Amino acid sequence: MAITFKSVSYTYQPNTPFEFHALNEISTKIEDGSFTALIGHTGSGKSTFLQHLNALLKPTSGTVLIEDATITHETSNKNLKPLRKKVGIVFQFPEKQLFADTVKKDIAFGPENFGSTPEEAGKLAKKMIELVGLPVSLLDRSPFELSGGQMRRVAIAGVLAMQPNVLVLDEPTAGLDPSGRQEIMHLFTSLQQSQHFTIVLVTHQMEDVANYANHVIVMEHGKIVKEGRPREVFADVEWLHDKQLDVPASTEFAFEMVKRGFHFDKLPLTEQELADDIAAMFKRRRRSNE
Amino acid sequence: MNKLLFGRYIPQDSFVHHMDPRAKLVLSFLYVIVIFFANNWWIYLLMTVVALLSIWASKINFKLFVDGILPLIWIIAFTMLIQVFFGTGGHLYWQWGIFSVTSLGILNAAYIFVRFTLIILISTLLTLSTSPIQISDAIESLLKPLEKVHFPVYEVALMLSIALRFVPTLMDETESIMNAQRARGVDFGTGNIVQRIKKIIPILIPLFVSAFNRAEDLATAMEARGYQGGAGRTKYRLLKWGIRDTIATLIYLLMTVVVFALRFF
Amino acid sequence: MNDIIKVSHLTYKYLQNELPALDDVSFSIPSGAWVAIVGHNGSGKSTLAHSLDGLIDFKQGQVFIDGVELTEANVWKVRSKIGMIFQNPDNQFVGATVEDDVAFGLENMAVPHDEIQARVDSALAQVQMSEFRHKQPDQLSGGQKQRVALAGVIAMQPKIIILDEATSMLDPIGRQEILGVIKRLRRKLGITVLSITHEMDETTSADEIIVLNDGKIIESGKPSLIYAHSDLLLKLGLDVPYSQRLKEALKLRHIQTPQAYSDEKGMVDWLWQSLLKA
Ligand SMILES: Nc1ncnc2c1ncn2[C@@H]1O[C@H](COP(=O)(O)OP(=O)(O)OP(=O)(O)O)[C@@H](O)[C@H]1O
Ligand SMILES: Nc1ncnc2c1ncn2[C@@H]1O[C@H](COP(=O)(O)OP(=O)(O)OP(=O)(O)O)[C@@H](O)[C@H]1O
Ligand SMILES: [Mg+2]
Ligand SMILES: [Mg+2]
Repeated sequence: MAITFKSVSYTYQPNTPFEFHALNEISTKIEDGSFTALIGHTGSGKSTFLQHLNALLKPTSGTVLIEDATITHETSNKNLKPLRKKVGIVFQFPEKQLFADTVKKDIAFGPENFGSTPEEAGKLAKKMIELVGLPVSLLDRSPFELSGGQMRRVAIAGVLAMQPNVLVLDEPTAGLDPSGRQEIMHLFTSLQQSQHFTIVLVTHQMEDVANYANHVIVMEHGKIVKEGRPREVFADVEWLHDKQLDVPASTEFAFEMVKRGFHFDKLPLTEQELADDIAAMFKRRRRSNE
Repeated sequence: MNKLLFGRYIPQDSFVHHMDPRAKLVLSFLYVIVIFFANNWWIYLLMTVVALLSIWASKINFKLFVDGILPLIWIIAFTMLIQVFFGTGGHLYWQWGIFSVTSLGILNAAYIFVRFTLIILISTLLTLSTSPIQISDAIESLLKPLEKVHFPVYEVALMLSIALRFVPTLMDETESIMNAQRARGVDFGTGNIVQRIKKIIPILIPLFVSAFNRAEDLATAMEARGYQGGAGRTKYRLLKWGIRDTIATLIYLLMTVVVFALRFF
Repeated sequence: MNDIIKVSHLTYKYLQNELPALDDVSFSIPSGAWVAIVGHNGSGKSTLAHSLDGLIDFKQGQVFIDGVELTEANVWKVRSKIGMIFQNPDNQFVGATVEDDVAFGLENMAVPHDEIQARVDSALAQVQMSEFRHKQPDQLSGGQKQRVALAGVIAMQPKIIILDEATSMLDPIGRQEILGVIKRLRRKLGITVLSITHEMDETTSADEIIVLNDGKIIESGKPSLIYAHSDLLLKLGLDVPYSQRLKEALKLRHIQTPQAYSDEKGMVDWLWQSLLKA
């Protein structure tokens, strides 16, 4: 399912002293089945952008096309529900949205709002909790008794249970330890492969961008300042440094090597690529020594 | 980050902003009390002039005061209508059952309109020109005598300032929780009463849980920074009565004297 | 007596849990050192930090801070030697404005008004937040709030600063700001720093790393020693520093790498030596 932005601007609290232009003339397209990463500093407008993906916010000017529904400033709040079912958002620290007395009821909440019967929703809850890698026995526990990492998964299961086509993730691994982070990211990529999701991910972890995304949007002051495949975006290390943005550790490392006189045909993005390149260098050196 | 406009502090470099918050608090109270003694147009005129003068001295854009009145316009209109249709006395223009429109009724409605508007203007001026912490400092200082009867003045003031400090935080939180539940298909603002109440639960419970966690964190942080209750603490903020406060007090006292003179003599 | 923190046989169990959150923990930290404590979520790091500050009433074991044993009677004395920064920037901001928050601890210590003023000024200058002194917390970013928290702590002139995942809710720039300020303060004031984290790249400038797992100390030592044990770190759900990960990847490709741990710069040097040097 594709989502298109056509010169979208968004202003918080217009015509007050607290007026703030959070998005300025954004135009871009999230392709069907793509994995888009959204990066940028705090306050650059990432979360504001995300909330346009399922019409939680409506553009102050410009239009958002969600599949074939057109959202503008004038779109009425009615009839947005079908869109919200198609585009599921996992907000930052999603465990904050848990409220039900059992895990099962919490996961079933979304589907029931979208018209599933309690039985169907219950079945979905069971399926989803397995999908996020938690034991089924947790279904009857209170979500508030779980550990932080488990609560996060339950909240994610609650969004997956709506069976959306597009999955929007706002820093889904913030606050987790390294293995927790890795497990969650694996979960999303395997879901994308098995269920053919379109994924939009906000993250500060450039490794994740390099490993999983095929489309990167760089935001600054409410504008898109760069966009493209990860390799294109990360090719200009100096530009990113200049903007105080990180690059993947492997790219950074290779960049340091370049400064010392090494040559790369194209800068590697991942550890595997870099290790392959270095191994090739060793091979060449050995051959020329012989 | 849904910032409420009504009652938000607008920093400025002005006469009013530099006044002692105690003076502002007391004078605002005085104004509101005096206005209930107003019974003729001369008094209202005088008090309007004083209010406008005070607003002018704050250098705050007048439009913000209008924005403060607009949300309350229905309440004002409703009260005026009641006066118009139920007021009695004076010349009778129209009557139908218990409803009647009289000249006195209309006059009273007009008075009520002016009175409401002036009260809102003055209290908006107080909150726009005085930060919450100054207000809570002022309250603490004014309540100080109650310490003699073992009223925990300091604790109450601290509670008040922490509560005020967390208002924006909790408002952000409410909005983000509402968004999360909207994204899960909740349609706030539709359905019958029972359905609407049911929809509040997915907001209220997370909000409560989060407020509780915050309170626990905050208590730990305060303890770690040596907080052991109000006794024996020193104070960083000292309130100082200045020449501005004396001038303002004199103007308001003069206004009070004139109002009483106009009313009773 | 040179050890500013000394912990022996500390054990603590939360009432509702079966397993202890801290299980016979003993270690000591020399004055002026920077020690990092790492461990996965729930390994007991915060419980340990809270115990050191007397925020948890432990029954088994002993804690000495600057030569004073932590007991109910002198808990306030001990607390005055320790400054703590917690994870959530919002939930430790007590004051209504930046300057009020920095002054909060000093007011508690009954510091006279004029001195509070001077200390607040200098603390704000040290974390480079002077121009924000009248701002309210909702006008600050997470990183700025944490810098204010740090100012509140240094204004109290503690001997020890404990950071309990103080950067984990911040973006990369916010993290860099905090770490930069801490490094500078340590150089200038010689404060002992105990930093709790699960970000390995925040431990590189530590003098020592303590690895905690399920309430027990599994290992401790110089960073280079800990980083070289990448298999152990992975098993404990922790990260391995990038240069070590690269080394493992090269080993898999049958390339002879140096035994000892080296950081990125060291690795680039080594590559240059073996590949480019004539
Ligand atoms: N309700 C609001 N009213 C006014 N300004 C707002 C509101 N919500 C957000 N903003 C401002 O809009 C800007 C963009 O915010 P947004 O949350 O989209 O940033 P972000 O890129 O997601 O940042 P972060 O990485 O911190 O999450 C920020 O400067 C923020 O202060
Ligand atoms: N207030 C509490 N009541 C009951 N159990 C608790 C409490 N606080 C922590 N625990 C438990 O004690 C253990 C250690 O928790 P602790 O918070 O010290 O871990 P941590 O290493 O700081 O984790 P994190 O990285 O998530 O902050 C965990 O199993 C946790 O569930
Ligand atoms: Mg955001
Ligand atoms: Mg912790």
